[in-house]
Amino acid sequence: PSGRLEASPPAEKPALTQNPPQAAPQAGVGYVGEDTCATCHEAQQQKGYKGTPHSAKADPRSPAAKQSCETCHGPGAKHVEDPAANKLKNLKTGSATMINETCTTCHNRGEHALWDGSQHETRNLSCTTCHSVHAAKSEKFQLKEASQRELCATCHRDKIAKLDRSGHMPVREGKMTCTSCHNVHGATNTRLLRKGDSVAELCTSCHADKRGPYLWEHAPGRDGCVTCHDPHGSSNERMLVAKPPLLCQRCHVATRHPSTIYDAQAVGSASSASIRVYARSCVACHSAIHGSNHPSGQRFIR
Amino acid sequence: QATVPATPPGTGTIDVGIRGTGLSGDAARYERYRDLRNGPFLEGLRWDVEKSDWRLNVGADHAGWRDQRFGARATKPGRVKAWFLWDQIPMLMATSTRTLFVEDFTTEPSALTIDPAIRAQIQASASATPNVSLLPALFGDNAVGFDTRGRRHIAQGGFEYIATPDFTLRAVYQRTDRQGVIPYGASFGHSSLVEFPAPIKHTLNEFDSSAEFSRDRFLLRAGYSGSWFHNDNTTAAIDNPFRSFDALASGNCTVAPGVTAPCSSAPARGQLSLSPSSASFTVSGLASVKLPSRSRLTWYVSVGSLKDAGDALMAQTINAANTTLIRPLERTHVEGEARTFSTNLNLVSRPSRYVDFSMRFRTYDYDNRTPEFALTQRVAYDNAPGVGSYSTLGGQSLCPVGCVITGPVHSEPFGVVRHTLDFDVRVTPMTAVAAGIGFTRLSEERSHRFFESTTENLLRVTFDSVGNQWFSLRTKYEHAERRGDVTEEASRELFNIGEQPGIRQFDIASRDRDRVTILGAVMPRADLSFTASVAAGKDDYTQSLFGLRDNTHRVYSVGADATPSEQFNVGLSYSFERYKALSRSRQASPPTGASTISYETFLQLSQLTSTTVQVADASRNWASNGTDRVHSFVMSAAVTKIADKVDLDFSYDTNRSEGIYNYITGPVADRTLPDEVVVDTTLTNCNTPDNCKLPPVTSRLDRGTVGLTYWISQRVGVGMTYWHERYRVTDFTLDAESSPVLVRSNTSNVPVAVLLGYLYRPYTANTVWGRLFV
Repeated sequence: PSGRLEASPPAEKPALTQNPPQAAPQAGVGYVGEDTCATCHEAQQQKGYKGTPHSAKADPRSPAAKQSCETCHGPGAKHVEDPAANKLKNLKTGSATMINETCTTCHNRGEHALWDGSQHETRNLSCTTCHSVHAAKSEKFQLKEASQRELCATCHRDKIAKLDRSGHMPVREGKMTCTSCHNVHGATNTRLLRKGDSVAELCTSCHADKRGPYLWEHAPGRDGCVTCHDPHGSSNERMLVAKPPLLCQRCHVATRHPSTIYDAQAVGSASSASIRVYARSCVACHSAIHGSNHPSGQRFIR
Repeated sequence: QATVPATPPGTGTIDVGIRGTGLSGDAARYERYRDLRNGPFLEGLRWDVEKSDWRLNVGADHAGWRDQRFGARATKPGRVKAWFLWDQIPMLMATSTRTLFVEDFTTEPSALTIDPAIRAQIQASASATPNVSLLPALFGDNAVGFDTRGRRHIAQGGFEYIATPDFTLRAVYQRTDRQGVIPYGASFGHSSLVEFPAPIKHTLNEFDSSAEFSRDRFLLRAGYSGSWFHNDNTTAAIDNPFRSFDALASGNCTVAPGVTAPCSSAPARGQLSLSPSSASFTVSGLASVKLPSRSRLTWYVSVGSLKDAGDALMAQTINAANTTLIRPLERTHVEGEARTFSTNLNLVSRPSRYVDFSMRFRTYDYDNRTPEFALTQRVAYDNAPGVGSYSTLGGQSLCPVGCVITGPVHSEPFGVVRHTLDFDVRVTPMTAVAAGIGFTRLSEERSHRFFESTTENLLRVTFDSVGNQWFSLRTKYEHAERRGDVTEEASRELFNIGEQPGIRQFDIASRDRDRVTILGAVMPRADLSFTASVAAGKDDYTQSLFGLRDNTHRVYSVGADATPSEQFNVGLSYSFERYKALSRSRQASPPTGASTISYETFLQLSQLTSTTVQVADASRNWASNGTDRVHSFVMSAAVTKIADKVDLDFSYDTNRSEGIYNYITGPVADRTLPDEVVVDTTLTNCNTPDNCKLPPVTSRLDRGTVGLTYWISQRVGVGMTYWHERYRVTDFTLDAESSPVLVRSNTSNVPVAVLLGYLYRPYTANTVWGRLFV
C-alpha cells in the first residue's frame, strides 16, 4: 500500500503553485539567480526543489527567499563562466562538516537544534547521508529511501530486523516510525530518545500506566525498561529479552521456585508440566511486575 | 510500491478498492495492529489546496476501518503551521480466548465474577470440599468466547507560530484514549492460577509547548510539558474459580504477638491493584551559543514532578473471614511522588578542519519521594494475614500460633542519580577519512539496590571513511568496565531474604563490555552498491557468582542494491544474528527448623563441599545456556513505466528465529570465577541429556507482496496487490501444543490453572486488493 500519514505532523506535500518570478541576480556578489541555474540544471530544479518548503518564497527563512539554488550551492557566477574549473558546493560528496554547516545555516532550530555533538554528527554522518533534496524517494522529509524503516536499515539492520519478530511495536504496520521514539538529529535524552530525560521516561510517555509511582516498585523497571524488554522487537511475548522464567532467573536465585530448574520435564503438555513455565510464566502470579499499590504488593502478586 | 504521479495544483490522489483475505490459522496475529477485514476500502486520500498565502493538506488512510487515520495541516509559509491528527491503533491479540468471568467494570473495584450457579457446582457450601475436578467440564460448557483486543485512539492538535523570524511558539495537545482488555494473571496460591481479561480504560492527556528565540549566535528555548494519566480501573476484584467460599483455617492465626484468632486460609475472591492514575509535569530550558573557532555551547536543564492521583490504599483483603484480623495500615494513601532533575552541558568545537572535539556532561536525578511504607502484616493471595516479611528463608505467609513476627518490612522507593561525562576527539586528516577517540564515565547512585553505587568507564575508537563515491567504511570499537561494590551488610541482607549473596543483578552488576561494529559499502557505479556489516560484542559479568554471567552477540549482514535504469530497481539483503547468554543459579529449598543457619555459617559452608544445607551446597548449582539465532532475508524489485503504462513491484522477506535453551548442571567449562567452588552435581533434575534441552522455540514469518498497476492515463490507474503471509511457531510456553486452556497438575490430575487460551498460533494468509488510483 502507498505511503501513510505520519504520526506528527501530517504529511508535507508539494506546493501547489509555481513560485513567483525570481528576483534579479544581485550584482557584485557572484550570484546568478535560479533561472540561470535552470538553464543547465532544470531537472534538479524541478525535482526536489519546486514545490517543496525550500521553494516557498513567502518564508523568509527559505532558500527561495534568499539566493535560491545558490543559497546552498554557493555563488554561481564563476561556475557559469567555466563550469569545469569552478565547481560549486557538492552536497552529496563533500565533507560531512561542510554539508552539515551548509544545512544547519537554516536548519538550526526546533528538531535540529541539537545536531552539533549528536551521536550521528560525531560519527561523521551528514544531512545528505539520509536526505536528498533532489533525489528523495519518500513521501515526506526528502529521505533517500522510501520509508524510515528502509533508511535506518542502511546502518541499523539488526534493529530493523527485530521489527519482524513475533513481539513488536506497530512499526511494520505503519502506526509508528523510528522517529516516534528517536530524534535522529539530536536529543537531550540518551540514545537520541525524543522525549523525557531517561529511557523509562520515554517509554512511559506512551505507556503511562507503567510509570507509577508505586507503593512497591520493581526497581529494574524504573531503572530502565530495556533491562527486560527489547523495544525493537523480540521472539518472546511482550518483547522480553529472554523467555521467562529464564529471564527472571537472571536476577532471582532465591530459594524455592526462583532457583528451580524447569527442564524439559516441566514443559510441554506432558503431565509433569509446571504452571511456572506456561503462558505468562512468572508474571502469571507476579502480575503487577512493574509495581503495585496493594498494601501487600511486596512481591507483585497483588 | 506503486508510483503515485506528481500532484498538479489543487488536486490530490485517492487510492480506493476492494479487499479480500483467505486465511487459515490465527487471524488475530495476522491483523495484530491493523484491520484487514474484507470489503471496500479507502487506502489513502491526499488533497491539497492553496489559497492566498495558505496551503491546506488533508489526508486519510483506511477511512472507516479500525486502523483509520485522518490528518489535516494548514501552512502559511514562514508564519504559521497548524495541524490535526486522528489516529486509531487497534491491537487484536486473540480471537480464540474464552473465560468464565463476567465483567462489571462500572463498580469500584471493577468486578469479574463467575455465575453463582457454576460456582455452586464447584463448592455448594462453606463446609463442602471444592470439587475442582469439575472445572474442565464447567469451563468447556460455560466459558464464553471473546476477542482479546484493545485499541488506542489518538487525537492530536498542534501549531507552530513564527511570531518573528527569530521567535517561534509551538504547542501540541494530544489525547490518547485506550480501551479493551488484556490477559492478566491472578493467583490464589501456588496451585490456583487464574488468567482473566483485565480491563483497560485509560486516558492520557499530554500538552507540550515551547518558545524558542534564535538570533545571531544565540538560541534560547523554554518548554513546558504536562501529562495526565487516568485509569478508570485501578483495582479489580475477581472470583476464585477454585472455590466458592472462604476456607476456614484449621488453626488460629497470630494477629499480634501473643494474640490469636480464627482465620481463613483460602479466599473465595481476591483483589488486585492495577495501574494507578498519575500526573507529571516538566519545565525545561535550553540555551545555545555559537562561540569562536566554530564552537557551540549548549546548556539544557529540566525539572519535573510525578505524582499519583491521591489514590487511597486499597484494603489488605476482601476475604470476609479475615477482615477482622487486619491491623490498620500505617497510612491511608499511597502518597506516590517523585521529582526529576536533568541537565546537559554540551560543548562542540571545530578549531580547525583537521580536528574537532565534543564534550557533554549530563546529570539525571530521579528523586523518589514516596514515603517508605511499613508492612506489619502480609496478606498473600487474600489468604490469612501473616508476618510482614521479605523472606522465603524463614518467613511464612500464614503465621501459625507461636511464629515470630519479625516485621515491619519497609517498602523501597527506588531512586537514581546518574552523572555522565562524554569526551570525543576526532581527527580528519583528509576529506574522506576521520578517526576518533572518545571516553565516557557514567556514575550512578541508587537507593534500595544492592549496588548503591556503580561507575562505568568506556573507551571508544572510531574510524570512518565516507564522502567519496566509491566506498564508505564506518568502524567503532568500545571497551567498557563497570564496577560496583556490594557491602557486607548488603550481602547479609541478600542472605536474609533468601537470595544467594553471590547474586548480582545484571543491569547494575560489575561488567566488562567489548563491542565492535564495522559497516562498509562499495559503490562500483552510481547505480550499484554493495553493503556489509559486522557487529559483535561480549558482556562479561565479572563478579556474578549467580545471575547472568555473560552474554554475547554477533550480527552479520550483506546487501546489494541496483538501479540500472530509472525504471528498474532491485535490492536484497541478508542478515544473521546470534545472541548467547549464560546464567547461573543454585536450586535450593530454604533451611528450616534445626537446619536454619546464620550468614556466617553460610559463608563457612560455601567454602567447603558441604551438602548439609542446600543454600550453601555448590553441588546444586546449575546454569542455563540460551542461544537465539535469527536469519533475515529481504528482497524487493520494482519496474515502472513498462511500455509507459505498467508499474510492477515485488517484495519478499523472511525472518526465521530459533531459540535454544539448555541447562548445564555442575561446573561450566571455562566459566569458573575465582570465588567459585566447583563440584560435581548432585541435582536430580536434568537427569538425562534430553531433559537438559528445552524444546527449541522457533518462529518463521514469510511475507511476499506483488503489486501491479496499469495507468489508463497519466492520472488514473487500476491495479492489483497481492499479499502472502505465512507464520509458523513452536513455543513451549505459548503454543497450542504446550498450553491447553486448562492446565492440570503433574500428579493428581487436578486443575491448577484456568487460562484464557491466549496462544501463539500459526497462520497462512492471502490477501488480494483491487485498486483504483486517481
